[in-house]
Amino acid sequence: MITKKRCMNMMLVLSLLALGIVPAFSVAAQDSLIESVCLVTDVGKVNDGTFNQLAYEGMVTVVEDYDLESTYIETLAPTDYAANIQTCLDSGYDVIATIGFLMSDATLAAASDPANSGVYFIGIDQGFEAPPANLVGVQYREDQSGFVAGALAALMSETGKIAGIYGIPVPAVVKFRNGFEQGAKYINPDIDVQGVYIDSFVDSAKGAETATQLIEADPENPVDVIFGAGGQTGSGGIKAAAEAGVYVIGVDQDEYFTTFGAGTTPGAEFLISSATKRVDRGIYVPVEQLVNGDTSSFGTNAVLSASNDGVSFAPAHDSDVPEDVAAQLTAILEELKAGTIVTGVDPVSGEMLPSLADLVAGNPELSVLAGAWTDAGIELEPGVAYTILAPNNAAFAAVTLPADAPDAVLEILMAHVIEGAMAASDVELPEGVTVVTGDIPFSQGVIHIIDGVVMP
Amino acid sequence: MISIETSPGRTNTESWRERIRITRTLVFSVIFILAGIWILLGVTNSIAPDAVTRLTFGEGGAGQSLALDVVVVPYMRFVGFFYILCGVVGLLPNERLGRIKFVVLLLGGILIFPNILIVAAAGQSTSVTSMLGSSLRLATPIVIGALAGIWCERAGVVNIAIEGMMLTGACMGFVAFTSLAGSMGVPNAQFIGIIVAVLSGGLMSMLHAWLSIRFKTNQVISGTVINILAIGLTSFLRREVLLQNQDAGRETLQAIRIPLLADIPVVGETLFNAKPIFYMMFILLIVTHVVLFYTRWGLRTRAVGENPHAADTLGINVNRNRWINVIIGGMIAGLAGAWLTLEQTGTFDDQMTAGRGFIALAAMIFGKWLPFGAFGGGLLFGFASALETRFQILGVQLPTQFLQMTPYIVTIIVLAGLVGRAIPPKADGVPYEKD
Repeated sequence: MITKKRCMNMMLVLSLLALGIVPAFSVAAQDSLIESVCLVTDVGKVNDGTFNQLAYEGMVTVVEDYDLESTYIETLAPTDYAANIQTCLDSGYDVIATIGFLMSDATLAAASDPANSGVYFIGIDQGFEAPPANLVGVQYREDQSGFVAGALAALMSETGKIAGIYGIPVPAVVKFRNGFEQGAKYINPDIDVQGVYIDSFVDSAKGAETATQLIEADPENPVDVIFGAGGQTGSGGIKAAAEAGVYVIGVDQDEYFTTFGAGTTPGAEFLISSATKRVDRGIYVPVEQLVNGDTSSFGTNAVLSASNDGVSFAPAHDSDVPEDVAAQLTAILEELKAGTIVTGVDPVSGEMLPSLADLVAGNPELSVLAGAWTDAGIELEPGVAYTILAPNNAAFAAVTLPADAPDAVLEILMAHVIEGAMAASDVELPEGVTVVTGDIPFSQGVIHIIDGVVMP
Repeated sequence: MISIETSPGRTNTESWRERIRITRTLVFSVIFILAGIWILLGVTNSIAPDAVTRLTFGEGGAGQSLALDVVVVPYMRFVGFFYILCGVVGLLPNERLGRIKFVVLLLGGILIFPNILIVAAAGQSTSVTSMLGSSLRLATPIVIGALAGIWCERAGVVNIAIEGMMLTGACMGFVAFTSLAGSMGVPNAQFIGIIVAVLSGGLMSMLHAWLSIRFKTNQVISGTVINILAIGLTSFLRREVLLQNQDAGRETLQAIRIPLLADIPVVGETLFNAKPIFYMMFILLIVTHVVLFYTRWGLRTRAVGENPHAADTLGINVNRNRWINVIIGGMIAGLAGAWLTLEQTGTFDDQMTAGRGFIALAAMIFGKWLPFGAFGGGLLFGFASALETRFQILGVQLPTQFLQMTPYIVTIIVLAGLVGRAIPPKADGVPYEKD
C-alpha cells in the first residue's frame, strides 16, 4: 500500500512538473472569462487516433484561435479520474474538460464542490440531471449519424442482412446502435439487422473474429454490410470485414484516414462511409463561448446534433457507392436536421422511445382515443416525425362521434395528426381547447394531451 | 452425537472426503434431472412446435455446404429424457459404476453446448463449421499462452507475465513488420515480424528470469512488473513509431492451404486452410507434450519443478534449466502476441491483449499443467467466447451482460464440475537456493 501511495505521489509531482513547464505567454482577451484549459482524457492517449485525439485537437484549435494556455493529462486507469481532475484544479486552470461517459461521476463531483465554483467544467459524452452552473454536459445525437449509416447499409445490402459490432453499451454506443437499426428499417422495414456488443473498446482481435462470425454464421444468406461502433474493437471488426470483401461503415471520425490509412490498407475500397461525431466541436464551442463571455450553455446539457453539424457522415472515398445513394443520404441528413425525420431514440439513455401505440395504451386517460385509433387502423409512416394531439377521455365524452361512418371518424382523427414534431407552445389549437400535458416524446415525434376534440 | 467407527483403519477425515466425493456426483445428478424436467416442461413449450434449426456444415458458397435440419421440439424432448436418464444413472448406488457415471455426466455436460445452440437458433439457420473455426481461432492465443506458462511453471517459475510478454511480442513484431514492409515486401516482413515477436517475448522473459532466478525476487511481483512495463513500453512505441509513420491497418498473414487435407468435407476448410500461427499452435502443443514427457530435458525440467534439491543432487544445474525454460516460455508467449497483430488484426492498439494472458494462465491451471489439458482449457474459452457472439447474432433475448458472462460461467461449471482440484508443480514459485 505504501508503495502504491508513494507511486501516486510521485506521479502527481511529475504531472505538476509537466504542468509547470507549459509556456505562459498568452494575453487573454478583455472580456474573456478564462485564460487556460486543461484536458483530462479517458483511459487512452491524446494521439490514440480516435476519440481522445479528436477532443485534444478541438482543444488545440480553440487554444490557438484565442491564444489561451493549455495542458492535458492522459488517464492511465479509471481509478485516476478524480486525481487527474484535482491535478488540473491544483494547477489553477480555468476550464477543465473531461472526455468520456465513464468520467461523468468524477466530473460532477468536482464541479459540485463549492471550492471549485469559479472553474468551468466541460464533460464530453456526459449528461447530468441537474448540472451545477459551472458545468456543461456535452451530448451527441449519435443516433442521428447512426441513422444515416443504417440507411446507407440498407441501401447497399443485397442480402437484406446487415450487422453492427459495438463496444461496451454506454449511452453513446447504444445510441449508435439503435439509430443504425432504425435507419436501416426506415429504408427497408423487413431488413434483418444483427448486432453484437463486446465488453471492451480495445479488443480489436475479438472485433475481427466477431466480423468473421457475422459473415460466416449463415453461409446461405450472409451479412453483407457491417457497421463498427466500439473504439478499436469496432475498427478491428470493420478492418477484418473489409479485408474479407464486405462493405463496412466506420464511426466517430472518417476511418478512411485512420483505420484504413488513407486507402493504403487492404479492403479500403469497401469502406462506404463513417458515422461521424465531432468530438472536437464539443470542446471548441463551449470554450469559445466562455472566451466571448457567454455562459448560457453552462448549467445545462448541450446537445450536438445534425442541425448544428455535431454529427454527420463521411464521404465514400474509394468505394463504389452510387451517386443516387449518396444523394439520398444527404437528403436524409437534411430531414434529420429539419426534424421531419426522427430516429425514435431517447437522446439521453440511447434506448428506444415508446411507440405511439404503447404510450396511448399505457395511459388510462386516453383509452377512448386508443380504441378509435385501432378501429380506424391508422399507421404512421416509419421514420417520419409527427405531432399527435391526443384528446383525453373527457374530451371525447363532450362530443358525439358520427356513428357508422368510419370515414368521418378517420377524418376527425387525422385532424389530430400533424406532420413534423412541434413543441406544445407552437401548436395552434382551436378556441377552447388547451393542452393538458404537453411534449411527451414517443418514437416518432411528440404527443400533446388536449382537453377537446379538434373538428376538421 | 458420538459416531462409532466400525473400521479401525478409517479416520474421520477420510470419511469426510468420501462423503464430499459422493455428494458431488449426487449434486450433478440432481441438477441433470432438474434440467431434464425443466427442458421437458419449460423449454419445449416456449418454442414454436414446428420450429426448425438449420445447422449448416462447410464454408464457401451455398451450393457446397451440407445442412442438417433439426426439428427443435422433438429433439429437445429427447434431450430432456436423456438428461433425466443421466441423472438417474448418476444416482445409482452401485459403486462399480463410477467410471460409467463419469462418462455419462461428462457426455451430458458436453451436450449442453450444442443443445443451447440449437435452442437459441430455433427457426434460423446457423453454421456449425464457422462456430468451430471461431472457437479455434479465439483459442489460439490462449492455448499458445498457456503452453508458454507450462514451460515456465513446469520448471518451477511462476509466470503471470504472459500478458506482458504477449503484448510486447504483439507490438515489436508489428513494428518490425511495418518498418520493413516497404523495403522487403509484405510476406518477408511478416516473417521477420513473427521472429521479432518471438525474440522480444524471449527478451522480456529474460528480465523475468533475471529477477526471479538470479535475484530471487518474488515471482508474482516480477511478473507484475513486466506486465506494467509492457503496457508502458508498447504504448510508447505505438505513439513514437506507429502513429508517426501513419501506419494504420496492414495486411494480415495469408492463409496456407494444405492440399488434400483441406478437401476433407466439413472440417477440411476450417482446419487445413488456416493462417500460420494457427498451425503453430498444434505443432507447439505436440512438441511441448513430447519434450516434457518423452525427453531427458523434459524429465529434468519436471524434476526441477517438483524437487529442485533432489535434481541438484543428481547433477542437474537447476538455475540453468530454469533460465532456459523461462526463455522458451517467453518466446512462445511472444508468438501468441504475433497472432494478435500479424495474424488476426493487422493493427496494434494499446493493451490489445485484453486479458488473454491471464485467461491463458487459467487455461493452464485447469488443464492441470498438461499441454493437452491446456489445449482443452483454451478451446473451452474460445468456444464460450464464440458462443457468446453467436447468441447475440441469433438475437437471443437476454441482457447482453448475461451473455457476456458465458465464458466465465462455463469456466466455473467446468472447473467445479469436471476438473476438480488442480495441483501445481511442487516447487512452483519457490526460488531455488542451494543451502
